Order: sequence, then C-alpha cells, then structure tokens
Amino acid sequence: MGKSSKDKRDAYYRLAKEQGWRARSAFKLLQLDEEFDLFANVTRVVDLCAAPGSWSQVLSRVLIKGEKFGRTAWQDKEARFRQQMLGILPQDEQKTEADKTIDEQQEERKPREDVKIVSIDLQPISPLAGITTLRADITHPATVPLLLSALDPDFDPKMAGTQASHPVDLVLSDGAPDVTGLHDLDIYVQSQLLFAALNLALCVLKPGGKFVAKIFRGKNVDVLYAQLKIFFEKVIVAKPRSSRASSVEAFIVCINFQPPDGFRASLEEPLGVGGRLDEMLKEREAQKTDTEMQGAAAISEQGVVEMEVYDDVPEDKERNTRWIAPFIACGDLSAFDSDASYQLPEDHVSLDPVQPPIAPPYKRAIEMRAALSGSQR
Amino acid sequence: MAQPREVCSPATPPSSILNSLRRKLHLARAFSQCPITALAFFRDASYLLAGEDTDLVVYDLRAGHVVTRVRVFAGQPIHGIRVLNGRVLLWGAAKIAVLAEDDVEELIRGKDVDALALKRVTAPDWIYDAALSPFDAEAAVLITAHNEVIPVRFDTPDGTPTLGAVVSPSRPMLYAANLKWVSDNCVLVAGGTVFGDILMWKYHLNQEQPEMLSVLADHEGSIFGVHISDELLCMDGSKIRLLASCSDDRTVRIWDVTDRQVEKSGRDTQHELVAPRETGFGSTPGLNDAETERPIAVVMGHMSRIWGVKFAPLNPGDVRPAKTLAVYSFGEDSTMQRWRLDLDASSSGDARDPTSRVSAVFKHQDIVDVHDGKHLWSHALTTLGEQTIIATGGADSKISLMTESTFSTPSPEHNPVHEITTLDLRDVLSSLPNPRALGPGRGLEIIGRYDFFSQDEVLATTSKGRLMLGTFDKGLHWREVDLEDSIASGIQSTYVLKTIGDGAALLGTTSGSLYHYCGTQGASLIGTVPGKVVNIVLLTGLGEAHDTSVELLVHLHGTPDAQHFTLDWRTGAVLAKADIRGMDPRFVAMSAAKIKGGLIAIGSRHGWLSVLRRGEEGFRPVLDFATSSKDAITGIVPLPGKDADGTASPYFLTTSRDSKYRIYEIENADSDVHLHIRNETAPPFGSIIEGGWFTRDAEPELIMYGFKSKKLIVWNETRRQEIAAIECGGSHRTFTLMHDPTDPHRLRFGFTRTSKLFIYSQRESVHRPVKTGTHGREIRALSCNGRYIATGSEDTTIRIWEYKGQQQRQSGGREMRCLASMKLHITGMQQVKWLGDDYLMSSAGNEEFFVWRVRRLNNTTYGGLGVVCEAVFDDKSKHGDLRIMDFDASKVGPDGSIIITMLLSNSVLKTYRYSPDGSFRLLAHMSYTGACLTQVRHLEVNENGLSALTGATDGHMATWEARFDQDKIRSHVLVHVAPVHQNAIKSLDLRATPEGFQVLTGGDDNGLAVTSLEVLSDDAGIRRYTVSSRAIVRKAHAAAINGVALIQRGEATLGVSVSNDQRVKVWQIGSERTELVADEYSGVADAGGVEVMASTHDDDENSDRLRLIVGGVGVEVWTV
Repeated sequence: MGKSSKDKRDAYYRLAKEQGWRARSAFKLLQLDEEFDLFANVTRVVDLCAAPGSWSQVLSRVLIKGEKFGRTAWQDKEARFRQQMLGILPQDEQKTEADKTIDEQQEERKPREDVKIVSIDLQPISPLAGITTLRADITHPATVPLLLSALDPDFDPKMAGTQASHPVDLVLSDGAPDVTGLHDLDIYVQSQLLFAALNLALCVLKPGGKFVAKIFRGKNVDVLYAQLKIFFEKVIVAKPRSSRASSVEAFIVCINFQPPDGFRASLEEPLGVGGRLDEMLKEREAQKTDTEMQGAAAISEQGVVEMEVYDDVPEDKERNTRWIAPFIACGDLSAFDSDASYQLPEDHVSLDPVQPPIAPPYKRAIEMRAALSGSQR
Repeated sequence: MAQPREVCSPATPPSSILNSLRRKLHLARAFSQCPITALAFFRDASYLLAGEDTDLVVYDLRAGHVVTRVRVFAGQPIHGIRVLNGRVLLWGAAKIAVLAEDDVEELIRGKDVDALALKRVTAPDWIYDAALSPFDAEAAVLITAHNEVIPVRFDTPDGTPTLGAVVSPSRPMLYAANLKWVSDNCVLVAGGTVFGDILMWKYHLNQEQPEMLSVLADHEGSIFGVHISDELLCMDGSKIRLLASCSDDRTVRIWDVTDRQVEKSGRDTQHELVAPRETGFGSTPGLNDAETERPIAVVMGHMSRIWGVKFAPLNPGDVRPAKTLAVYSFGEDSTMQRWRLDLDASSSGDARDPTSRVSAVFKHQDIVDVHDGKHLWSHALTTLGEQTIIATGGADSKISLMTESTFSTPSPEHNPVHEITTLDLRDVLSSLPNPRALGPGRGLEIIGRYDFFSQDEVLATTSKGRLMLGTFDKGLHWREVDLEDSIASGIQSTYVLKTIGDGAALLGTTSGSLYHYCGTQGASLIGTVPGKVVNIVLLTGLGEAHDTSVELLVHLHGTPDAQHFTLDWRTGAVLAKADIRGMDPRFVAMSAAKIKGGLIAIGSRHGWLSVLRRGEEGFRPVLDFATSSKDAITGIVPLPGKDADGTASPYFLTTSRDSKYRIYEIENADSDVHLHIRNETAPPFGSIIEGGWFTRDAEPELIMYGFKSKKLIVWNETRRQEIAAIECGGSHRTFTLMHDPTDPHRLRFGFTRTSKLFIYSQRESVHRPVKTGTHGREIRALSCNGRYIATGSEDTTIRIWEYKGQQQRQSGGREMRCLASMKLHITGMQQVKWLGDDYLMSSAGNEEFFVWRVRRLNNTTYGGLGVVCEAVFDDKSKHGDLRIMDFDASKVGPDGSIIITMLLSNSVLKTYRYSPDGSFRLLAHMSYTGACLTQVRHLEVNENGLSALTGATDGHMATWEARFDQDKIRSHVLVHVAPVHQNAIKSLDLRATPEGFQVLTGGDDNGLAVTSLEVLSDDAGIRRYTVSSRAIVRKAHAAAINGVALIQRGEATLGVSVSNDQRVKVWQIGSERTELVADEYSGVADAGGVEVMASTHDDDENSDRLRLIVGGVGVEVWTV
C-alpha cells in the first residue's frame, strides 16, 4: 500500500506522522493513559519491547518534557460534529468534555523530577532525550541484571540478587512476535513475551505499581487473565480506539501490584513455563470466595441491562483455571476510528514516516531476487 | 466420531423447564476441516497418521480413505506424531499422549475408539520435537521451546509416561528443534532460536550437565526448521553428519555437524549467562567456548518464510556411499521444493581433523505446488525400496501424497510411476535394422507430426516422408512403416496427423491429400480437398469398437470453408461428405464438436463461436456468437447427457486461451438457435487452457489441461486436483496428449522441444490427495441457502460447497464437496450472501461488489454448478479504495429488481436498485458519524422505501429509513441510535417477533447482546423501528465474538456464538434471563462467522437436529 492510500485507510498512521510520533502505537498508550491515568504520580518507568520507540517517546514527552496530550490529539472534529448532528452524544457529556479539552490546553508544561525511564528492545532504538535505551532480549535471563544496573547505577549483580533496590512505578510492554499464522504457536509466543515482561516487572515493580502489556485475545486468554490476577488487585483488558477491531491485539492493564505473600521473582523458576502459576492460582482460589474472582468492574452504560448468566456447563477438569477480565474500550467515541477510511482533502500531502521501518530479515532475499530479475532484462 | 466426554456431576441444578431443554441440547462436532499440523507414516506407508486439530486420523493409503478417528486431546491440536518400537507418541503444545502401535492396528480393524487406552501427561513447556529411542523401547526425549531436553520413560506399571529432570545449556526462545539419538545414552540436539542462531548440543542420559557443541550463527532471521541427518558414509570411507536449517531469511543452509571429538576446554558458562549484558539480534550468545561455524551450502528458495526442511531418509541397510542427498523444504508459500545436494567429502580425508570440511552444492530439482492458500504445516518422509514417499499437510486441511524415485540409480526391474523419453531421430534410425534409403533431400531429417496411435503406440512422420511407429514396452521401440513410393512422397508433405480411432490415423497434407493409416490395411489415399490441410478436428470423439463411423472436419488454409467427412475409422471408407460454407471470412477455426440436435459448434481463434446446421447443401451457420473471450477457443466438449446415448445434454463447454472455461446452454436446437452462458470460471491451474474432457464415471468429472509458465498441467476441476505437471518449456510448441479412457491419471504427453520429440508417460499421478481441502486462508464470510454453502476467504476466492455429511465418509474425505470456485475479487473478502437459491453476492475491498447467478445444470450427469458473474458494481468513489464492509439485499417487485444496501468503510451507507440487466441505480445514501459501519440488515423493503438496521465500530445500533424517489437520490434518515456494545459490533443476526425484531449481536468487547426493536409508528408505507430494550452478557466469551446466529426452535430461542477464544456456545435466550446451555472447544481459529444450515434429511438420526457451520481457519459442522 502506498503512503497516500495508507493515510486514508489508517487515520492513526497519518496522525502519527503529523504529530511527530515514531509509530501509530503512540496513540494506543495515550488512549490507555486517558482511560486509566497511567502516568499519575509516575516517575520511574520501564518500557519493554520498545522499538521503534513510540511508547518511550510518549514517556519522554509526558514525563520528561511535561507535555499534555488529551483527546484533541486524536479527536475527529467532523465525527464529533456529525455525532451532535445525529444526536448520538448526550448534551451534558458534550459540555463537560468540551470544558475538559479547554482545561487541558490551558495547563502549563510541568516536567517531573527524578524521572527514570529505561527502554529495552531486541532492535536498537534511536536515542530519546532522557531515556536509557538497552538492546536486549527480554526473555533472556541476562536482561534482568542488565535492567537492574540501568535502573540503579549502584547495582551489583553478585550482591543484590534479582530485586530492584529502587523499584519502578510502571512497566510497559508493547511487544509482539512476527506471527506465523499457526494460531496456537503465535498465542504461545505472545504469552511468553508477556510472561517475560511480567517476570521483569516482578523484579522491578514497587507494590502498588502498574503493568501494561500487549495481549492476543485468542484461545486460552482467560487462563492468562486469571494468572495475572494473582499479582494485581485489578486486571482489565483494554482496547484503545487506535487498535483495530479486526486485530486480536488488546492491552492488559494491571493495577496495584500486590505480590502474594512469600513470593519472590526467580530466574531459576521463571513464570510461564511449568505448572507454578496454575498451582498458585488454585491455592488462591481455594482461599478466596468465588465472588472475589468474579468481582468484575461492572460498567453500566445508558440503558443496557446487564444480563446475569446462569451457566451450568460442567467445567472441564483438564482445563486450567480461567477468568475473563472485564473489557474496557478506551479513547472516546469521537476519536478517529482505526477501522474506518477517511477522505482527505485534494491537496493532502502525505508525509514521510518519522522513523523508517526496521529492515526485515528477508531484506537480503528481496534484494537478491531484484538483482536477479534485473540481470535478466 | 467418538470423543471422551466429561460425565455430568450428579448434583443437578434446580429443576426447571429450561433444564430439560438443556439436557436435550447436545452440541457435537460432526465434521471438521482444520489445518493438518502433524503427519507420520505407519506400517511401511500402508497407513498415514494425521493430526487434524485434536484428532488423530488414520488414513488407509491403498484404499485412500479414513479408517478411524480418535480424539487425543480435549482442546489442543496435535503438533507432532512419532512412531517407533511399537509405540505412537503424540504431542500438542505441552501435552503428550501415547498409545501402542497394536492399539492403532486394533482401531484399523474396527475396534471401538472408546475402549482405547490413551496415556497422557503434560510437560512444563511447549514441545517442539520428540524422539523415541531406537536403543531402548522404554525411553524417549522431548525438547521444549526453551531449549530444554526432558527425558521420558514408559516403563511404569500402567504405561503412563513419566518425565525426568529438565536439562538445558541455556534457555533462549526457540522456533524449531530436532533431536537425534546417536547412542543409547546420548542425544544430539539442534535448537533454532528466534534470533537466527542454531545451538548444537548433546544431551547425555543421566547427566545433569549438557555438552555444548557449537553455535551456528549465520542465518539472518528466526530459524523455523532444523533437521539432523543420519550418519552418512562418504566415498573415502569416512562418516559425516549434516544439519539442514531454514529460516525467515528465505534460505536453506546445510552445516557439517560431524562429531570430530575435538577436545574442548570445559569452562563453566553459568555465571556468564546471568551477568548483565546486551542480547537480542546481532549479539553473540554467551557461549564463547563453542565454535562458530559457517554453513557448507546455502540456497535461496520459496517466495516467503520456510517452515521446514528435511533430508530424505536413507534406505535402511543401504551402505552405499552418499554422493548426493535429496533435501526437501516446505514453505509458507504452500510449496514443497526438492533440492539435490551434491556432496564432495574428498577433503575430509581424516575424519578426526577438524580443519577438513565437507563441501556441498545445491541444485534445484522441482517445485510441488498442490496446496491452496498458505502454509505447509506438516510433512512426513519415508523411503521404501527405490521410492521416497512424502506426505504434506497444509493450512488448507489437505493432505497430499507423492512418490518419487530415490536418487540412487534405479535397477532394471524398476517400473517408475512416470518417465520421460527423448527421441533423437538419428539415434532411432541408426538402431533400425534396415531403414529405407531416401534420396538426398535438403536439410536434416527430423520428426514431423506425431500422435498417440493407441494406448501403447505412437505414430510419427519425418520431414523426409517416413512413417514411424513406436511401441511402448519397457522403453520405446520403433519400426518404420512400409509405404508405396507414391504414398511416401505424398506423406512427405503431411501437415496434420490425427488419430481417429484406436490404431487408426488420418494424415492431411499441404497439397490437400488425405491418407488413412491403420495396422492391418496400411496407408491409403482416401480423398482430396481443395487446399492446404491445416487442421483435422474430430466432432464425435475417438472411434470406438461399437461404432464404426467417426465425423470430422478438415479445415483449409486461408479460408473458413471446410469439409465435413463421415468415415469408417477402421477402413478409411468415406461414408458421407458435406461442405461447410457461408462462414464469416475472418473466421479461423480452432475447435469443433457435434452438439445437441445434430448441430455443429465451431470455435475460432478470436473467441467466436459459430453454430451450424446441416441442410440439403451441407452445413450453414445459424448463429454467430461472440463469447466474452478474445482468445482462441481451444476445445468444445458437450456435457454428458442423461440419456443412454449421452447426446441429449443441452450444454457444451468451451476452453479458451484466456484462462477460462465456459458452459453454454443451447436454446431451441430445432429452430431459432440461441446460446446462453451458464458458467464462466477461471480454474486455478494455469493461464492457457488447451482442452478438456469429461470422465466416464456415473458422476462425470471435468478434466482440463493447459500451460502454466513452462509446464503442462492436467487438472481435475471436479476434485480440484492436479493430475500431472510436466516441464515442457511452455505453450508455444507442438504437443499431443492422450489419456486412458477409464483412468484419467494414466496419460501420455508428447511434445517437441528444440526439434526433438519428448514423450512423458505416467501410470498414476505423481501426487495424489489423501484428503481434499478447503481455502488455505481464513474464511472471512459464509452464507447458507439451504442447499449450498458459500464461503469467502482472505485468499480472495469464493467457493460454493455442498455438505454431504456421514454418507460420504468413505469416499476420500469428500463430505464437504466444492462445486465451484470463483476468483474475481482481487482484495480480501468482506462478505458473501445468498439471495434465494439463485443469487449470490459478494463484497470486498476496493469497492468490489459482484452479483453472481448460480444455477444447477439440469439434464446432464455432470454435477458442477453453473456460475456466472452477472454484474460488477461500477458506481465507485473517486479513488475506489473503500471496503464494502457488509450489505443486505432484498427482492422487490415482479421485474426481478433487487434493493441492495451496502456499507462503505468511510461510514457511508448506500442503497441501490439492481436490475437483472446488470445495472445499479443509487436510490439513497447517508453518512454516519465517521465510525466504520460493520453490519446492516433490511428490516422492511418495498418499491417505495426501506427500513434498515446498522451496527458500527462505535458499538451503537442505529435504525434508518429511506423513501425512494423516481427522479432523485434521497438521504437515509436516522430513526434511532442506541449504544449496545463498547466497541465494534462484529456479528449480528435477527429474527422477526410479533412486536418487531429480536437482534443478537456479538462484540469485540466479549459481549453478547440481545436487543429488541419495535415499530415506532404505523403510518402507511414503510414502518420505522426503534430500539425498545437492550441487554448484554458482558463476558460471554474471552475474546471478540465474530459470529452469531439466532434460531427459533419450538418455543425456545437459541443463540449461537463463535469467538476468537475458540469456543462455540449455545445460549437459551429468555425474556427474563439468558442461559448458557452448551460450550464446546472449536478447532477453528480466527472464526469468520457461524451459519445455520438447513437440516437435511439424509440421515434419519439427525433429522430433528440443527446443523451449524463455523468458518475461519478451517471449517466445522456442528449438530445441536
């Protein structure tokens, strides 16, 4: 697809270029923040699987430079106008939102103090002001000490073990594998990335901290939700408007880190393999009442009746413990729709991406094929 | 199919009417076509074991059908199968199951599946490979996705496998691994990492410490396949071992991994692994005591990622030195490629010398492209005698079997499945005892014209007037036919040689002479025509024993006038003669056939069809018909009729070089003739179709042949199978094809290449499907009309299927039969919908919208459907780059008009009036908020207006109204809009209720919502609807709900939902509450939708059951 047609097909691709983001995924984090106020009182952050660095860029601009991004960054004014015209948004909501927008614009830039941001990816990340970037595989054991020493210059791997002396407030991971098309395997590899991020998070996150990671909503995702619930008070699966409905991608937002009593993150026994998590879960379930597990955030929307489901399908004993996290769509309704096509003015000039895409491993294959067909002509 | 079911707990819930319904509701999978993820041969390739989703399926390869099917895991596809020492080991993800080979034998003999003793165990991590020990029947090893080896023992009292301690030199994430037992206590391990490295190490049984051998770091992308060879004997007596690897970087590499027993310094690497350091792409792993090596051979293949690579297995007991090896690679591009690896091990004089290395060169041998869509997920190879047998399984759920000669020199008794003979005339002549002496003519004597004279004979002329007859009998043996001098000089100018019956041929010359030749009578002049003979076309097929006469046309150079002959094909006696006159002077005949009512149809070089009737003065055209092809009509074949003589079918088929075949219906064969197109299809096998025929089966199958780049392809369109693919250099050449009348797989193909005659013969297909498949890409939309199912896929094709169910089980897995496949869309499909029995509509990206007319063909035994694209939507936006997300269509009025409302991805809805003449007239349009509309249904439509319902990515449902105006385009009016879901409404179904409608929707938000619509006002004309109540089950699934169906069954209302979480759920929807009444695992990932199939009454047992079909990555049929 050419640049120009991609501009039409993908509003966030165009917006990212216009607003100087390295990738459209910046909006996913901004919209998640808008819903969950992720950056409140946050100064120390770890960004995993960060390349090309759009999430780190958000962190840099929000935490270090003190910029504010509100709905205006991604609001489709025409959609808003049409919604008002068609009477889709209630009047009062429109008003408060309009006020909020003005407030946001009037607020001054307030850079935060003692900000520490460490970004990690397999691919090199172009430098970002105030951010420590590391090239590492988050599934690799060596990455934990690497991260700890980046977070804390006094860190001594021989003495300190695998816990951060100065823990962080927020751990982010936007990592995803190149999917193969074998759904089973893709879901497994994605869950391994999630567990690797969780393993790192468990080493560096302070109690009460937050963890946000990409998740594939596919087979057995309810097992993952249940396992994450061991470590956090609230686990919510969120889908920003900037993430396509046609994609299996969503974000797991874990709030208030509460490590279970006696739990210690361990490299020798990483999570995600073996039955450790499921055992912890069964133990936990035995202790707690059922309502606590089922206690979902009930979102009441105008006039939609929540149906109680009488479910008596016998539970398969071979299946792991499952729990479906509450779902929240975030980014307001007048946000650009990542599934829609947009008409652009005749004089629209398509911008170049802020950062060129990472060279794929088959680049050489393409070059060689091109060279071969060239010589035949 | 039997499947272990959980026994319901005795504590039954409070009794109610609903519970009694629940007990009756049994949701069962009746049929599935899922990606084939594991394959293994069984009992010397008599059987094939296949992993199809959760099931182990056993195929009898001789009989070619399924013998048994066992559910191995509850909700986990099988990823691998290994058979050795009386044991079958299966795994999927972290789950392992074992059973005895004898148990499989019992199952094959018909033992009850339920009585099977499957032993299961779960490993701590995902498994990539397993190897049963050839040294100890009770031992095996597994390797996980984290490069860990786990030993397995089977010698427990009840045979349940026990897993030993995990051993690993380091734990990077792998994408591929291979295990090879090298001794009774040592396993060689190859682990291909996500980052493009291959870790070679040794696992020693009963030792905690692994032995790291080397890191092969040369690939530039993730390693998707590794295979360790057997130990190979070199010419110099040394032994080597090779490793093959394939990767994201599109290369296959071969490595020398011979164990040369180099002394290594035993350094401890443990603390380095946890020391702070950078990892990831481009960094060297911290195993610096291991050697870094380069591959000995590298080759690029495949158009995309390469999923697997395998060495051909050595023949057991073969002690001959290896000079060449066959290597097979399996790709995302759904092809298998065969490579020859030429080894030069001469430099490795001293096997213990680490500096000496084997060198090798890759040669590309063949590409096998018999699967649809993408991905070959599984393969199995075995060597039996002089043949290598390969099975491949794809994402298309097809299993293909191929037999090849091994590279070693075949023995004289070896009777290959296929062979190619090259004829050099000089060699042939010099081998003849006494060739006829010819005068010194000009130029070299070469083979001129040729045709297969009979099943085992070929007849050829030479440029100097010889007539040669070759006989196939373990090779091709030639003799020269004795000719009188006058005939010999006539035959020298032969332009056409045509076989007209078994052992009889007609030769036409540039001087207008016609010669007949048969074995008993020899050659004789039977007539002359006034011009140069350029073509002889048989009108009625080859002469047969029960019928003495054949009809044929003789075409002349530079004139459309032709001569019609009726001959006694055996003697050459001319029984009748007629002129063909009155043709358009531009007409150049290419093909002809006798069709219904004694008419003759002639096809031209430029796509015209002429229909002729016999009058007193010969044949005269009664219809000149321009087909939609501008290219040559290469063949005309009448469809087999239902009458005993097979002539009464009103249809005939034409093949064309424009890559399509068409079926026409003849109207009024007795008077004013008309032709109507009933089918137009571009089969997938090639770009130039040269001809075709129907098999003589009770249900005739359509076979076609043509050229695809440099190959001739013979294709069974009915079964969608390639029968042969013969490398011949391309389409511009003289060729002839002959098939066995009873077996289309038995054929001969003669072609000229660089002035030489090549003859290819095959006894059977080189590859044959063990199981037929479906789209090889995700099904995005499906629709049922009671009899047929239409599917639209990411591969941009639409297919029409007929589900035959259980009755077809034994017939090679053709329960789900593909009746048509249409490839006209060029972007990913969004929606397909039936409108009644005869209309199908489809939408996709780039504003593509097609109207298809689908008809059954009556009065023919051919079972294919007639499918014609009746209209292409042309009222596109300026750039024409929007997706048509969904549409609904309703028939109105007596003139066959259809009202179509379509949703465009820019939040616009448009309503058109479609007329059967193919025109679209815009009646109304409107923009929604900017959110992408995803669902639309007409609530009420008539000539004057419509009422419609939409769903969008903003989670809102909206009702609309539009009044149509003869003269101007109106706007849809939004009647009511109500939020239901949090974000995209991904699926919707509705049913009429006394008050209005009940609507079931599935959202991206995991929610299942029930919404009621009621009439807002009851004015005259179109009723307007408003949302009266909304209710939602928030956590109906764990992931997006991509398909819903609403079913009324007696008093009860049932809802069905399918989701990305791979569960199929059935809900009892009541006015007070909604109840989950069934919840089963589904093997269809990325479901595109669910549809209710009308309950067919072919099996009494299921007559009161509903059938559901789920499509996505694969297809499943469920009964409720």
